[in-house]
Amino acid sequence: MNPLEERLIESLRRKDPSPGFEQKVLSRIATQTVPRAGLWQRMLTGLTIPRYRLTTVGLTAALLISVGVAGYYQEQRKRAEGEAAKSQVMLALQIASNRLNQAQKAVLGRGNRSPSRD
Amino acid sequence: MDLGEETLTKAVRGDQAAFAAIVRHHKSMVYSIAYHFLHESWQAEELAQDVFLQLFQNLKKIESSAHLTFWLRRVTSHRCIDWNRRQSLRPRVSLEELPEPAAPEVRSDPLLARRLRQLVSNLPEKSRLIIALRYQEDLQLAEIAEILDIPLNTVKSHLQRSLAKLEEQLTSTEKLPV
Repeated sequence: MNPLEERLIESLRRKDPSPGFEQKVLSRIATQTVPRAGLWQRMLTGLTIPRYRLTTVGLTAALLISVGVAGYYQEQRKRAEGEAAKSQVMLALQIASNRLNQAQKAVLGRGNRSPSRD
Repeated sequence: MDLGEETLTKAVRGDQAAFAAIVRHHKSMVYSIAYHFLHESWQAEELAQDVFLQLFQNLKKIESSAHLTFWLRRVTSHRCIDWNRRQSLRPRVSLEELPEPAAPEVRSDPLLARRLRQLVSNLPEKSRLIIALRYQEDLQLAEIAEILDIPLNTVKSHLQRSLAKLEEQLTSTEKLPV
């Protein structure tokens, strides 16, 4: 072994990391290790709905129901307005028809009276 | 000195205290390989933590305490190379690379050792690991070849070239007889 190699052995001696190194490793292990669920637990997990998913489903359902109810009432209002307009048209037609009938009667009445005067 | 087989068996069975004992026993080896390769303590410490985390995940594959030591040296070496390649993608300035403040030169061993470590850190990555494994871990060249997955002759040639380069740099910069 030459002097350079001896110097290298001297320079590259093992040294310790900072204090608390083991603790840092163990805490990293603790945060990154998730205990493996048992068979029954895994089967039950498939049947249950996670809370966040339940909230999302609830909110979506509430939104859809609100939109549906609003649409239904709007449709009902439009139908009522349509019915009212139809009634008004029918009434107007009925009035117009009555007036026409009266006018026809008046015309016919005059026609019948004129020849008797001559 | 190797750790007892009993400690390893306990750690494999999930005994946290036994695993902590393994970390305590091997931390200086893992940390020092990383430190002599990366030349920065915070990086070496992070890398060493990663190695022990990987060990924890692979404890069942460890057959004996001798295998454990081999496994740790091998994983640390390969992680060093990976780390270096990742780091080389981003620009960085290491405190260790900054010029030394002007001060009268004191020819003492700590300074020389530091200078030598700095010269080692400038070697190519494979050579750096070979030097660390040879002189820090006192491994035979065949063992180094096995750890690094390279032919024995490659280890020999890397080592010879590295020693020649270190000797030349040390002589020219420090003007010390080597």
